[in-house]
Amino acid sequence: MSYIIPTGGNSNPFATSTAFAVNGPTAFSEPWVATSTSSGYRTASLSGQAVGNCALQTTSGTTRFYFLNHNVYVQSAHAYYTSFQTYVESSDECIATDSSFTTSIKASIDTTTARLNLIKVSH
Amino acid sequence: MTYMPSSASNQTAANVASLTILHNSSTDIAITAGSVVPLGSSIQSHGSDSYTVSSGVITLPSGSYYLVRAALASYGPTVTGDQITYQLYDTSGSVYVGRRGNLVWQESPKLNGGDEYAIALIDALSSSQTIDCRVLTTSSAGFVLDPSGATSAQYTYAGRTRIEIWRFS
Repeated sequence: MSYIIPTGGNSNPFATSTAFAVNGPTAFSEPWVATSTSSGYRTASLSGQAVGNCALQTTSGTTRFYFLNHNVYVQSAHAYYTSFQTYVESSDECIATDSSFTTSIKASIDTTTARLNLIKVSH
Repeated sequence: MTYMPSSASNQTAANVASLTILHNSSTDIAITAGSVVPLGSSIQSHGSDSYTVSSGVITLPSGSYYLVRAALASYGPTVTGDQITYQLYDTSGSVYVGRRGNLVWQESPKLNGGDEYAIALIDALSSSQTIDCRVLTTSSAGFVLDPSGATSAQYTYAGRTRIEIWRFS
């Protein structure tokens, strides 16, 4: 999926409860989304359910990541780090349908490029 | 993706009736240009639809629009400079459809160009459609979809090949 370059102050999709990106089609306020941080994990919760897509770039190491409670390779993604390459590549977006989204990576997140897109599918 | 103005935050422009994720039921699948991505299993992420798949060809029943997104996962033989491209293919019309997907192995693109989904919006309102996902190009020989430990111990660092079918109602 195309990458949306953040230019404003709300570039970290987990840092605000009102905006999950500052440019592009997700640049609008969604009052049904709330975010929280617990033990370093970032969580976005909503009323009803949504399909969540999250892309992360790490600041240390390269790894598979996924939404907690959806630890499935097919729904997982590959997080990149500039000087750590692997022989295996995949999508950089994990995907799941849920009412709460917590990524398996809780540290070393490049908050200038991370994003979470939510497409609500039920109330 | 769906655009919603802030004045209508609880309404979607198109209703997602279901999201089905098709994927391989095996690992270590050698590919070359022209290979059809095999699919043997599915995950029902939202809704309750299911699809008939035969030799990688997906039948999309009539009566809906479908957004199909394909993301491949592969072992690359050399890492730096490795690249594969792929696209969805209309098997009835014998024509490639939608945007090409691109998977590259290199450092600098990061999220900007590290991978791209192959995407197509399929109109099956009046009749069912059949599509598959085909490898267009490989930068060399030796690419393997969905590697296991038999191909590369680093398979644990990435996800797996998937084709998402979003049905709109």
